[in-house]
Parts: sequence; C-alpha cells; structure tokens
Amino acid sequence: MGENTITRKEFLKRSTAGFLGCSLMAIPGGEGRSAELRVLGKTGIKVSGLGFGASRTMEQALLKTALDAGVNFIDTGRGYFNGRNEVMVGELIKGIRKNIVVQTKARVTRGGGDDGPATSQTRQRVSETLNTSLSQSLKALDSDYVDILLLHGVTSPAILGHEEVMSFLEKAKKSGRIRACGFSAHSNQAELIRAAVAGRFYDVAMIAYNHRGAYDHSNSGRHGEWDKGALDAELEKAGKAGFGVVAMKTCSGGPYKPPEEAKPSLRAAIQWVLRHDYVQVAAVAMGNMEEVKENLQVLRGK
Amino acid sequence: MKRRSLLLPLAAILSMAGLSAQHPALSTLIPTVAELAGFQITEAAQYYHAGNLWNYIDGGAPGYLAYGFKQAAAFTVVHSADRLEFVVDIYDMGDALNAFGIYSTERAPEGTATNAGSEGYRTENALFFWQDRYYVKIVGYAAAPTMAATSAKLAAILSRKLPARGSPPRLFSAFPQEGRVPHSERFLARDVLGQQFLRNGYIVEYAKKDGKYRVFLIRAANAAEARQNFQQYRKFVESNGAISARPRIGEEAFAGRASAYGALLVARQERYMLGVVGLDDPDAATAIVVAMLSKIPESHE
Repeated sequence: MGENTITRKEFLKRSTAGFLGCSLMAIPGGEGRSAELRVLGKTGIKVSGLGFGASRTMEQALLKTALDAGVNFIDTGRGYFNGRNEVMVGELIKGIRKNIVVQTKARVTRGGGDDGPATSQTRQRVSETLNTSLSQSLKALDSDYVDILLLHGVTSPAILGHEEVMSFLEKAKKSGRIRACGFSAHSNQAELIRAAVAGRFYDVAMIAYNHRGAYDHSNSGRHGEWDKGALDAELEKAGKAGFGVVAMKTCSGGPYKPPEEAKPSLRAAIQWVLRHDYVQVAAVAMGNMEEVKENLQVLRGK
Repeated sequence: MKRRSLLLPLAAILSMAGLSAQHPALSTLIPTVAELAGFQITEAAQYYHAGNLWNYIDGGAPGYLAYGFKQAAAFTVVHSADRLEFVVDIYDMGDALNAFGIYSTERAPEGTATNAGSEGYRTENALFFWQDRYYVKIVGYAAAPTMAATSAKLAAILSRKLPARGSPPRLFSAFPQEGRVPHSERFLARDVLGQQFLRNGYIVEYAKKDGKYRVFLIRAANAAEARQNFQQYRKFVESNGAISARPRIGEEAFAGRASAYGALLVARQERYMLGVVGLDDPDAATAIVVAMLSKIPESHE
C-alpha cells in the first residue's frame, strides 16, 4: 500500500500499457477452506472468505449471527439506508472493531454518469464530496478508520485516474482514515480491473462474479452479464499482481450444482466463487435469518 | 455527468404500468422557474423506474423496491444568493405508508426537526421529509453556514407542489410513550426481526439502563396468517434459543430467549402479533404487551 504515490498521468500510462506483472501472493483458497482468513491482495488485511453484505438489512441480529460464526468482513456503504446501515454496523462492532474488517463506499458520480465528474466545477468539488462522505462514514461507524473505501459504482476507467479522486484517496491513506482503497463495479469489469491492476494505485475491487457469468437480481429483476473468459483472464493477472478482489452477486446467478452433489444450492454457488484464488471474499448480501443460516454453511464447509 | 432524456421511455413505462391518472406525474411536481424563486435548475430532472433505479442508487435500490417504489426524479439546483448546490430526489412510493416506511428506515434520529413536509429533519448537509406518497431528499455537497436556511427554503417550495402532508401511521399510538427513543418509529415492509416470513411490521426503540430494547407490532392480513406467523416464529426461537414460559396474554403467547436477540415476549391476538425484544424484565415486558393489546382495536383504523 505504500507504493501508491503516482500521478494521474502515470496511472493512465500504466493503465494503457497493459499488465506489468508483480509478485505472486500466496492466497489461501479452495472449497472448504473459506473459514480460514485470507489476505486481501497486498493490503495485509485478513478477511474471512464469506463476507456479510449489509446492504439489505438493518437487523443487527443477522450481522451478530454472522460475526459469531466467524465472519469478519462487513460490506456496507454510505448510500445504504442513507448512512443508517453504517450506524447499525458501527453499533454492533463497538468493542470488537479491531477484529472486524469494514468496507464502505463513497459515491463520486450521481445518476449513472459514466465518466465521473465532467465539468471543471464538479472536479473542484470532488475532494469535498469524498471528504464529506468519508467523514460521515467514520462518524456513523463510530470509528477513526475504515479498512477499505471503495468508489461506489464505477463504470469507466476515467474516474479511476481522476486526479482529485486519487489525491483524496492518497491523503486519506496517509492520514490513516482508510487502510486500502478501491472501487465497486457492476459492468465493464474486465476493463476496470485491467486499468486498476496496471495503474498500481488501487488495492481492491468489488465486482459481480458467479458461476453463471450473469446475474438476475431477485428483488428488482436487474440483469447483468459479462464475458467470463475476458474477466477471468484479468482476474488471473490481478491475483498474480496481488490485487484484492471482493465478489458480489455471488448468489444472483442462481444455485450451483457441483458434480459431487445431488442438488444445486446457493451455498455451492458461493463455494464455487471461493474456489478461485484470485477472489478473497464473497460478500453476500443477507436480508433475513434464513439466508444467513444457509450462507454460514460455507464457513463450516458443508 | 451525462443527462439523457428518459421522458419518452418513462411515459411508455408509466402507461404499461397503468399508473393512475389521479396521481400527478413526477415531472409536474418539479417546481417551475417562477416557483423556484431564488433557485436555478442546473441539471434537468432525470427519471427512474423500478427497472433502472439501480443506475442511480445502486445497492440501495432493493430497499426502495421493497417499499413499492414507483418512480423517482432527480435534479440539481443552485441557490443564487449563496451558490449552494443541492441534488433533489423525489421518490414516488405508491402510498403514504410506504413513503413513511422508506423514510423511517433512513431517518437519522439525531437530525434536527424542520417544518418541511411530514416529519422533516435536516443534517449538516441535507434535508429529508415525506409527504403523502412521496419521499423527498435534498442533499448538498458539503456543510455550509447557510445550509439550514437555504435547504429549508427549497424544501418549502418542493412541499407546496405535493399533496397535503400526512401523519405517521396510527398504529404507533398503540406503543408506549415512556422510554420511547425519539424518532425511532419504523415501518418494515419485509423481513421484520430479520425473519423472511414476517411482513408489515411496526417497530419502536426504547431506552433501558444498558442500551435499548424494541417493541414490535405486525398486522397480518387475517387471523390465520397471524397464527401461522406466530407459530413459525415460536419454532425459530425454539431452535435458536429456548421457550421459558407461555403466559396468558392475548390468544397465545410465549416468553423466551433467542441467540442474537436476547429476551423475548411475543403474543398474538386476532390478526396482530406483537412483542418485546431485548428487555430482560418479564413483568415490564408483559405490561407493555397487555397495554398495547388494549389499545389496538381503536388505533388501527
């Protein structure tokens, strides 16, 4: 994380120059090993293979059940329940903060803009927006740091190389307000991973990833898909470069049937994701106790 | 940021969805230039429906969809005097209960009350209120000395365009007043107490010496559904804790403890299931439930 001081120009140069190659990180993985803590890329942050995606619930009992079972990774976001989701998380992890990895998100763009801040006026405001968002996250979480801060819903590499964005994240790291930075993305994932790995500035990406190469969200019917070959190729490189990967939409591809099992299951779908060494966490959104109980079977290797 | 006109697709979608003509289209609720005295729209409204709300609020979308989200408009205004800029979101949630519901799950109890709409409040850089079937957010980029006054002025303009303001759901009057955490009333459309089978729940938080406890009330469609919910929840407690007593409250009741929830007292009467979560004093919990049962008949209509 200490090698990230680069300029936008350098980031873009590296991004377009392609993969440069870095040392291979030894990352634990494989089915049945998800209860072990894994190292998230080169961040040094140790995470459980199964992460608790908190975006769908304000019920602390669900999160407590997951943490009691060994989950140590929580994914939340400033935008979830207007920041109340972070408050819910913060209240529960009080006293155990150091044992928990909290990932939250800050939004730079609004309205699905694909290039990030587009006007000079909004460029000047980027740092202010990110700073306000991070300050509010820290207050809501009742913590003086977040482990991972993601740019929320990135769709184009342009924002990753944005000067103000990078400058803000670099300062936030130096001040200790964040330990690692990255982005979340639902589309254009291969290109974003390629740019981020080559740019060597970002530590982590949260991307949609499952056995089907597509997702249909159960609540909204939202559909997305990706070129599995292209994304896997970039993820292979990312893994070798020590770039951290958090998978989401792991169950939104539907149940998975491993050859050795009689029936398909969502538990097997999560295990399929975690079999890939380049994915360190499956952050599964859990909205009720039934889902929590089923997902926790992953930790027990059932 | 690119702004694409979605008016034609939106119109088609609204038509397909059969939205009632008696509810004004969101575009008519956006103040005109004359009505926006002192403010100027710097980014025209962009419209969202259930199929593309993700594009706007990403992982926050499922929460809105659970509350019957219909459509939303988002636009940006700047105040000519202090140059403060706000993003305004107007969410049409279909009915007042759902508008209150999503508002209540997002409400910051520490927010400062304002006169905007129903139960309006502001934080250091934003103002929120619900009114009729609409949930309105006014979000500035950063805190500023004039934020409170300017956002209140904008809220008043927006509020005047909406139907008359409403009151919180009347079922909350059945809950005890003593110890109630201010602004902690929530309506949950689904996953009440984290249970997939429990829907349409009203929850209020209460202060106790070592933290908080919760009181809940769930109104099922009928007594048979409530009975089924009650039995299913009792099974959950049995398998995740223990039932310690079956007090004579309502038509059926149990007391016990469940992992991650703590002490529980749950009762059912007719179509209502209600109870107390996290209060270790069984007598106090019983008194709460008994008092609520006596108030429900006159408060639910």
